[in-house]
Amino acid sequence: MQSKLTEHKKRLGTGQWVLIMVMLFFVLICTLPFVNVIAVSLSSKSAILRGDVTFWPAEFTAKAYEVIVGDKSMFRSLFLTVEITLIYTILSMVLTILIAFPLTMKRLKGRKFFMLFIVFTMYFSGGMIPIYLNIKELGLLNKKWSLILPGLISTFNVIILKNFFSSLPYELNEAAYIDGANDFQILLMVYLPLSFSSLATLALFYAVGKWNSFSDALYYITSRDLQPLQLKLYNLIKGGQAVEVAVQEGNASDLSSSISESIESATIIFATLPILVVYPFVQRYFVTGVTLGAVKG
Amino acid sequence: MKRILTLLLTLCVLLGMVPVSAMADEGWTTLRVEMYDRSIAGFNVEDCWQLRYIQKNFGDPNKIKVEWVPVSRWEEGTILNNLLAGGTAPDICMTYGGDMVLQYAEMGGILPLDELLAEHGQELTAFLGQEVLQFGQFDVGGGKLQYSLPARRIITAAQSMYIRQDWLDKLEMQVPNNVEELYAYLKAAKENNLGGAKTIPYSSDLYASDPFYGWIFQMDAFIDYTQVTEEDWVTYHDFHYLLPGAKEALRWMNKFFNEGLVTDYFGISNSDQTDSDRVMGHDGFWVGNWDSAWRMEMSYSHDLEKNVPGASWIACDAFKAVNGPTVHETYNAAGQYLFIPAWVSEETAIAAVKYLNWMSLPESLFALQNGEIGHNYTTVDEHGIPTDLKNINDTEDAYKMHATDGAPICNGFYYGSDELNYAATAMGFPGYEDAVAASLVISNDGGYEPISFTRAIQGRIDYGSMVSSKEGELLVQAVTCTPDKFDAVWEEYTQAILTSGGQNIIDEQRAAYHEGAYRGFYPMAEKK
Repeated sequence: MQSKLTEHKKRLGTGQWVLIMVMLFFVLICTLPFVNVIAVSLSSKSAILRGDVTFWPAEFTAKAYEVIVGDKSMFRSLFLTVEITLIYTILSMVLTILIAFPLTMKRLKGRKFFMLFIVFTMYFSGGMIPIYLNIKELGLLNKKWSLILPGLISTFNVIILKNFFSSLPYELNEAAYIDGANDFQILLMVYLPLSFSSLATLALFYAVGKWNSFSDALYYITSRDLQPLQLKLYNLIKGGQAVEVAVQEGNASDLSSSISESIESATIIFATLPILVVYPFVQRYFVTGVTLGAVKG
Repeated sequence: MKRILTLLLTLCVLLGMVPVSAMADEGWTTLRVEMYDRSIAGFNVEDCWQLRYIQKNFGDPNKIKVEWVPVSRWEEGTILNNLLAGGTAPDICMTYGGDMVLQYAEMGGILPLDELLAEHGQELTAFLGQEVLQFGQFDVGGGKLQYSLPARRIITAAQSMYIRQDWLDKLEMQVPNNVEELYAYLKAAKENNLGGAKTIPYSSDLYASDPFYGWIFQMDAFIDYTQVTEEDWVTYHDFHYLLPGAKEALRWMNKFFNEGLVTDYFGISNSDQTDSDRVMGHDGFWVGNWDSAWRMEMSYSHDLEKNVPGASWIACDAFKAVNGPTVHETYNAAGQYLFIPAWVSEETAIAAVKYLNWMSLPESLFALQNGEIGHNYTTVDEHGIPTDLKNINDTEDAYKMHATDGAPICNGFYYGSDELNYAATAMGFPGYEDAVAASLVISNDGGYEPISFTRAIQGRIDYGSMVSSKEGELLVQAVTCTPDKFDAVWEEYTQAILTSGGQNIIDEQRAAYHEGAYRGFYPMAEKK
């Protein structure tokens, strides 16, 4: 037994131990801030002010979570965000696939032109006010769709998917064609089943991106019923930092409007939890998906 | 294929479902008013007590339907910019960004209010007063006109100085009145380790956007006013450290630092550490906003007492002028800016001015700021001032309200006179009423409002951020260098400020002085 253990230890050489330590270091860098946020969300205001809270709650209290759970609009925002994210992700995937697939077809004339046309948007945009005017002219202001339709297609994701499709043997395409399949059948029955990992990765990109976005809602949405969770979170956090602002506003004693740090942290956890729950299930496709597309492009 | 077609079809149908906006009722005017949204739990901006009160007491009798349009408080400038550019801005807009108002006035995007006010806004004009109204007057080519209505700022006090009462008692010292007495206190506190091993007699935090802000009281105490003309004052007001004598205030800071009396991370913004030092009792003196020691959210006093029994903060004036009267910079009398976009119809513009005019009536203003008895407060004192006004988190949802947002003509609570306003403000800090009142007196003593310019100073726009970052360097280098190098460092870094755009700003401000394009006054004007 003893010898076996030492043998095992021997197999893990110093180099590997160093690697493990380095990895552990990076893991801690990533997780500790999160642990800190959790600790703050469960601590009393006085303890936070004293600077007592690092990785373990001090003067434990769940009041911040009570406030959040007691706020109906928080759940309304949560459901709205889930709904928007779902619709957005599905539509985005459909459109991205429908752009990326033809661009890999050698038969398509002017492929380079279309590609340039698409890539162009990565570097140039109309600017905030023109985009706002556009949304307004389309009658989308203060509508759920203003959070979904703009930015349905991410150029970056189109390129990733196009490269992935290109990496599949073109002979498959030809074989299916000879067997009598049309383009849609080739896409649905040959390409998509082979691209599952890539598709899952892109869907995750789209979903996380939408989940975390708030700037579109900041400008296009005024109605409180249509505020996504991240916009609420943004307002809460800004409110928490607004002590100086309250003085400027002449409302100093009514600082209640500023939010305590624990509520802020609890909201962060509340808003991150759904992604944390979903992530492990999609994560295994992540690495294969992106690198396959990227390297063989 | 079918599936994809169906999806696309659904998309088209959904796009077509964008509803047509509702038609207004016959004979009624709809008035859309911008309202800040702060995402306060349980508080719905679009349907709240204040709005219902306004509709019942102002809207219904005047056949005006009042709607509040929520705009995030923290991005109000950018959002309002979008709304104005897109022509979707509310009929009454409000913002804390005075520059934007001037910019849109110059482009003809804002309605001048002079005639409307004369006809429908007498009470409002009287309430705001000329001192406040002048901040909303601009000359953009057609003579000086009232483009915006600044809110009346009730408390103009800005900063105060805080010292530990329990340390003074232990040292058997009086409250310091000048920098030498302060030095004796700081020195004794350090020698006796009154705050334990981590004693920091004088703690300071840095405002990156205006580095010298926290030292303006100290500098004012050292300025040699016999050498300062009104022209110098206007020109150099935001280069306060260049006024004759101001440098000596910083020499004292340098001395404090070199003797270990100041935070050793001086110049690095580290508010978490500062907070912790203040509530753990390590800290003996600091300069901050007039109410910082007692604020509900960052209650230094309350938490200090919990952590260190018997400890307390009191306000003091440790920087009385060496010779001559003491002056203290305050805020100016104007708060946020209200305006009406140029495209608003005459009918709606009249409704808008009527709305604000109605708001300035004592009864309306009181209700909008204080809410309803039994819900927002239970008792009033002999002057009719609520003594137990609840804060928004403790109020039941149906009565939640935000005073300054709901009654935007006023920044701060108004009860009829300065005396009552100050008393009411102190009452907002239960348990610390006297200390807060004393802090307000100190902060207002010899108050003067900062100089501002009525036209844009182009140099400030071009070089402003560069200059303030150089100012930060000057402050940190001058305070942390060894005393023998102080003069050389001062010379080097002030030169750097002047050559990196400071001189341009100064020249332009001097020109603005000669044009009379400024507001504010020289505090020593009458005394000379």
